[in-house]
Amino acid sequence: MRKLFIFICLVFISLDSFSQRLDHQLDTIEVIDLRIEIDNSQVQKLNKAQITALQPEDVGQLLQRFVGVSLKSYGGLGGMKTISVRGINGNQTGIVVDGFSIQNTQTGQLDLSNIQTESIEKMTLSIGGTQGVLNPISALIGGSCLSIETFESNFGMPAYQVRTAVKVGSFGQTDSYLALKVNKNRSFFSLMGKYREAAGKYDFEIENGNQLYQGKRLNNDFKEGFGGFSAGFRVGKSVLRLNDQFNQSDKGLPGAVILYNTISNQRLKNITNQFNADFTRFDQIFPFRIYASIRNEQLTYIDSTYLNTAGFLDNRYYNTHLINGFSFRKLPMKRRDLDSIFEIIEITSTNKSKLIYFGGIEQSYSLLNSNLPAILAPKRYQLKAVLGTEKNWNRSNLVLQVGEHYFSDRQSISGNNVERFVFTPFASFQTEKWKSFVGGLNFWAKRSFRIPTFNELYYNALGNLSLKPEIANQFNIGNFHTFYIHRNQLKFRLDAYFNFVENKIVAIPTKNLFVWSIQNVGKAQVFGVDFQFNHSRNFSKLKLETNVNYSFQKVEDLSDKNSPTYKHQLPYLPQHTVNADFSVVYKSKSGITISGLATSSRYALNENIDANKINGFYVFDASIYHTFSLPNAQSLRLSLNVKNLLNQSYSFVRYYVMPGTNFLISLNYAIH
Amino acid sequence: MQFIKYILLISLFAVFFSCKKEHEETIESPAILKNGMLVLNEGLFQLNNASLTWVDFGSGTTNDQFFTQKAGRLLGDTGNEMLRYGNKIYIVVNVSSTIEVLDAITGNSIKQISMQANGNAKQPRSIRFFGSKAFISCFDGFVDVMDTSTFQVESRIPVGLNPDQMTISGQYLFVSNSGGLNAPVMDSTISVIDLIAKSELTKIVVGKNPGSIVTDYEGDVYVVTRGNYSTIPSRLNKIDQDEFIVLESYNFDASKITLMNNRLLILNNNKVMLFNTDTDQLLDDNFINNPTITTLSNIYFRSSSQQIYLFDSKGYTNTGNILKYNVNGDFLSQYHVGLNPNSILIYD
Repeated sequence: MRKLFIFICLVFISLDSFSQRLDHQLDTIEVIDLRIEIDNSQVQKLNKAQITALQPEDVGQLLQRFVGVSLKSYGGLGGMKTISVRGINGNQTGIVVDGFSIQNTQTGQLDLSNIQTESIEKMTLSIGGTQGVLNPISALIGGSCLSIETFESNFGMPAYQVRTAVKVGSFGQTDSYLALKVNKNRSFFSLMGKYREAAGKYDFEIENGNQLYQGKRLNNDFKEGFGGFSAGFRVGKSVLRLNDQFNQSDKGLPGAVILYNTISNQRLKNITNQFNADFTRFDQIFPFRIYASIRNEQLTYIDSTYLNTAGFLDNRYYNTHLINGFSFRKLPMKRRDLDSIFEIIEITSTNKSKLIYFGGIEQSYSLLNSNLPAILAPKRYQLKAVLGTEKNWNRSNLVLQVGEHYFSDRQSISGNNVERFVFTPFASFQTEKWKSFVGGLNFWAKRSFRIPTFNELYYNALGNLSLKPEIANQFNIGNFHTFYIHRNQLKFRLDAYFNFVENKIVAIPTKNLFVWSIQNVGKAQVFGVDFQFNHSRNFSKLKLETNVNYSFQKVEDLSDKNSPTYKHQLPYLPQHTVNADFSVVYKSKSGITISGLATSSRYALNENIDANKINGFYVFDASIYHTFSLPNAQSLRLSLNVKNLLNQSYSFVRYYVMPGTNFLISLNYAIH
Repeated sequence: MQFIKYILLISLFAVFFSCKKEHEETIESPAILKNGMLVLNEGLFQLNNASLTWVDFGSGTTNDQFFTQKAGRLLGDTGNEMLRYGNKIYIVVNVSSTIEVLDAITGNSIKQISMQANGNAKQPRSIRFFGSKAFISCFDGFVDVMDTSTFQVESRIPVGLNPDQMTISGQYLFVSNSGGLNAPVMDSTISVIDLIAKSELTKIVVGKNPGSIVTDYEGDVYVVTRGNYSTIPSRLNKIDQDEFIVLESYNFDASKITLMNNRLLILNNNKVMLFNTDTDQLLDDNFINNPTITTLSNIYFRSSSQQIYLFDSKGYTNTGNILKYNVNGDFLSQYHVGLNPNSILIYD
């Protein structure tokens, strides 16, 4: 409580001293929208048009289009999805929706299948951290940041906007979405609702020795609802936003395909609500933002045929998370967002030599309760702070940043306290054009970390109170170039990186297979190359676009020289990943997109032997759409998506088999 | 021109690593099993990677594909136990919920028995034989009686919670009711089954979480109670074969036991202790202590050759080793096998 009080005092003191200066500012900067400004490092983007063409199930499926990302999908169709960016644990990737971060202290990692894509206007993944006044401090100190902007939470132009979509697909998939937004001169109000369900039963075929094992995926159904409310008010250069997001789901957990035994009776139910509020002052002298969120999550795991005395399991976890923070960015110049994956900073101000300062402070409380005696109701207080400076020259830019992350845990029953402090520097240098044929260059280095989760510290006999944060040191050299040859635009980006992970948190067995212990014994070294290529050509009525991403990752286990797995590739990280798409758009109304993903073989366990190998795969999707223009700024769009065009049998996670060829028909109606 | 220069630069800059194709060579399984060792590798949960390794003592080769080559398919998920009875080998596959029956001479598959009841998996755990019947402990709280010629389950004997290891003494089957899935409140009883009446006679209360259980040559039963892995320690207990009572609980930790003549070999914290079953004295608390063993997970004694086999599971996530010793605890040889080895059959 005392820390909270000090923090509030600090915020008000700083506000007071700066407000005096703000009053004297006469600059007129138009606040058009609240788009998150991103610069520096490596930024990859997907916009609304690209997302609509892909018709993804969830954010997890979209992320596999980004270079450097390794997705773990537990079977598609509502199944859990997690990511690892550049061979680093997914807990180091911050997730930000409309400027508010989403966090979970129990497992540390969010299930990306719980984030719906219908509302997304833009999605960006920045590796090596991110900046901008609208980003929370936690996003600035993470190893990478996934940032999502939605239709519902931003100011719009026409007085009334409507978005609605109805979808039907294979395996009993239905999906309906409705969003309404009222825009006034100085405010907006929006409401959103979405419901989807699927029976999820699909046939599969897997190799079983020399035979084929055929089966039907059972207990793979889901029902899921989303709801949201947003409002924003603008007075002069100040903006206030309020936002609430609700999600409830009930999913069957089919588990891995178990040979000769198809019985599966586990379910996972989730109820989540997050309320957000922020106040932003856009200003040339001292733009700042104050933000707060409260998130409540209830997770219920049910196994109706568990072989204990009760005959079932019903484990409930309640996780509450409160965040508040303050960020500022002393910004003497305007920037233009080029809206491409090859972000280049444009400096429009004449005042080039001036330094930019940015930073802020964020604190959070979280609390975990459950109906299990083994969970001793841990509470966590976290304090994160960032201070940085940026210097711009004619064609180059330098960023230096320091961050800190402190946390302190208390357990009501055992009374054990855990306290840790981590310091995280970041430096980046970027040039727009170095030599004419070399193009732009960038260098950056960042130290990031993930703190141990509640499960790792406290869960039953597993937990280890002496755990230290897992540290990742990242170094990157990048090069980007754009060429225009006749009517063709060609963009390239090549990044080479080296990451070193220390104090890697791993579970290792102790006395027997039942008692595992979580320890900081791991070390890993990542060497990787990311390559991105984009080609586009405009004809009078046609637009052709091609994107190719290739990622190479050598992620070596350096934990123990005497271990049989020394220098082996870590599990579930492919060395080679390629994704590509090709699209043709006619008169900006109709289009065809073909996209493909290929990944090399991976290992299910640490030891790189044939017995642990999961075969590589390639999979193609296709979509076709047509937009009908209607009077009064209305539009109707019909699209057909075919996923897994060649009916490949593949899986990301061993024996979590993905569906074969499946279809989705979507009808989207909008009043712009 | 600039474009070409750039492409050249990129080609120089991009260092692509050729993917090394290191396929392990395939060895064929012998038609008749001799001069070797068959190893059941348990695998890991939800990975369908239980397997059989054939170790050829003549050539020194090991072949992890034995079951797949003989049966044309995979063994399944979590192979808990393998025993030979007559001319058949029985393999208990827990998560796949099957019993695999192989020909003990050739290793060919004879039958796969699905162990399911009322739409649920019975999760078989271990197997013992008496006359023409096999007794199979199933995690759903029963011991199944299966005929060894028809492979039909003839009856289900209700026992305690999550029955685990079993041993026969005279006409009685002693079943460790672990209650492992009801943690932290586990079971703490041994069910005594009359093998002729095929019903539970009584339950003996021992310590918490009973597991490894053996009968000495006088017919007395020794059982390890594993405790709760934290506050309640593991213990070795002796049960009277006639009175069905606990005679003594010895004051040391133990995880697994096996009989070696009139000795018990006891696993405790990565070492082997030696216990005299005649005098009930601990003879040596450091009988075998090999620092190269990462995870000592099981032990087997072959009386015909008077040799001890230790199973090193290498942290349960890496492929393991089997180490051979003589009765004096002198190291003889070592074999690299599959993931989590737990049972072996030796062929001369």
